[in-house]
Amino acid sequence: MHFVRPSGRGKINTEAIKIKKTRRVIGSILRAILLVGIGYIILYPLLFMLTMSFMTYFDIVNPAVVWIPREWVLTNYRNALELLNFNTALRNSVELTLGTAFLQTLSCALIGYGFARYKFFGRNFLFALVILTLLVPPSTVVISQIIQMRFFNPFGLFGLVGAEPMNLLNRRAALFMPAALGMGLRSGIFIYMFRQYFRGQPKELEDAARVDGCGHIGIFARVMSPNAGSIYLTVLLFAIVWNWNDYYSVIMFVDRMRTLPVALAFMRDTLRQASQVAHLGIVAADPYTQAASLMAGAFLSLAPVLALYVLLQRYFTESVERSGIVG
Amino acid sequence: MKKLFTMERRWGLAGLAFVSPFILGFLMLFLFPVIQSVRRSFFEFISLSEGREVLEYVGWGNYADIFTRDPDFPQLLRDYFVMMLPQLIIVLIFSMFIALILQQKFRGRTLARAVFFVPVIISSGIVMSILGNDLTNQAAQESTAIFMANNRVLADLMIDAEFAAPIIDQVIGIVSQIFDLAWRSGVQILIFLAALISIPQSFYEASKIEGANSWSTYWKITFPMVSPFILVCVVYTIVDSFTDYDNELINYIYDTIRNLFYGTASAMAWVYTLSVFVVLGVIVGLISRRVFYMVD
Repeated sequence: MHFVRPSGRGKINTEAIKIKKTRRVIGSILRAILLVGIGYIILYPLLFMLTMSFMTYFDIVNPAVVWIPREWVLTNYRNALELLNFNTALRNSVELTLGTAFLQTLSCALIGYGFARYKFFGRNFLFALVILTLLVPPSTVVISQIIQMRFFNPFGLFGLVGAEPMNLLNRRAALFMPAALGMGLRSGIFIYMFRQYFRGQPKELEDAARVDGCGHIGIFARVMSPNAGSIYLTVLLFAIVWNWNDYYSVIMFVDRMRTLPVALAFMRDTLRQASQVAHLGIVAADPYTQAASLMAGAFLSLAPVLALYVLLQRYFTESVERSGIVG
Repeated sequence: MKKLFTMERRWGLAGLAFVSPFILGFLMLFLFPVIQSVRRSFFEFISLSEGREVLEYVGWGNYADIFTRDPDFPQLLRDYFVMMLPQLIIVLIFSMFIALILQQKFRGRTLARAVFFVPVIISSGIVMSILGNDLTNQAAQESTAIFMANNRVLADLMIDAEFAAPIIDQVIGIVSQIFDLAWRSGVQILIFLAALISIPQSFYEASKIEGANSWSTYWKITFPMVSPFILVCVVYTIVDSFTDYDNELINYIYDTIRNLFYGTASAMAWVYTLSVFVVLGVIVGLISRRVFYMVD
């Protein structure tokens, strides 16, 4: 008769646990080194910007001062706030960004869902068109797009009722309407993301909801969407960041609404001219202080999005653990 | 006689209704500018008279020109694809790898995720151009532009520590490549991360009970579940290269526009767009056979 000696088993087990433990420790050390290393490389320009924005002229030209200014000053920020016309620019940015981002997320979710869950005539062709909208370099079509917004007359319908073509330039609609119709900034990628996600959902979920008397919109809004939290949030985040940073469509279509990036570009130009004229009331003429003010302005224009990410981040990690009906 | 509204048809109509915003937007906002631009590529600009352009119809002439007469365009087009494909693979592997790390539970995860999000914010904006190449003047530029190419502090540190020059060069080279890679992969990392997070935990529990190790868990669960998003990342990486400040092909097209050869520039833009479209179609076709969707 053979018995397994309990002591032997116990020995092997503790050893296995030990090996597992050391492996885990080594793994987390490697991970820490990797993340800190890459993190440093990524953050370098941001840190550079941040520390320079607090420096005086003397600290910037002093080669002994590398990261930490000898004297912390806020004058650069004061200059930037004034030159950016910060409050107005911030309001414009928030208004345009939130409007376009929410419209874009909603419309792309609907469109992506349609492509993912339904079969209809011409579906693949239409989806190829979605990708095409992404691939056409914006510079090739932008001039006709401006003209189209200036004399907006969809399908000549305004002519039928005897109305004049509308001028949509400098109206929020010039940005909101494309966003609502899946033609916003990089909307194609968002449509694609939603399509890929919804395509992966089990058919049983849909069937069950249909048996329970749920309509098409109901299935979309109450069965499929609640599970897609992380995709919705990612798309919303990208939409906010890209629209926030978007410079070209703002100056093309709504140039009277000066958003933060546009204001920043103007600030740069103002400073550039000022350095030629050699003095400008509030900013010292030397290029170093001007660069520092510009850094302060750049940081101010990024700060809201950065803060938003830190806030949303929590939901980003939790969204799925809370909803468990998939599978 | 067939019924006009079968179940299937009604279902299809509902699908069309979901997609209809796109159809409307495409017809109303996109189609006309595209037609204009295509039309343009068949004309050549002659002169301006009384504020109106005088154009001459040249048929396929512009297209023939860019391949036969233009000294640079065919070469640039070839270079673009030769550069793009390896870069695409590296970016995909890197961003998948980082996303897997950022998905794990560890202390400081929130901070780490925030750090990898920074490139997404900065690289798509005017701030990048301010940091990168046009500060108010040359003197200030010298002190800031360095970080784009290499890493001054690190180099100083290594020089102080008396490393041999070739080693310093090597390390700095690697660092600036990682910099480039990390800055290009921000969006892809987030897309993969969102896909990873949306995998139901129950799958992992089941595989644990079955005794799968992490390697086979990755290939049997994680990878197939994430695979639909590999396609999205491929498309995004290619689209992103359009707005790159060092995309020589796009810069070349801009130069052509600036020299008032609108027709030629339009022809170039369309050759470029269509060849990217075809290459993308081939790549997506190759990958999508291996992509796993839970329904199919």
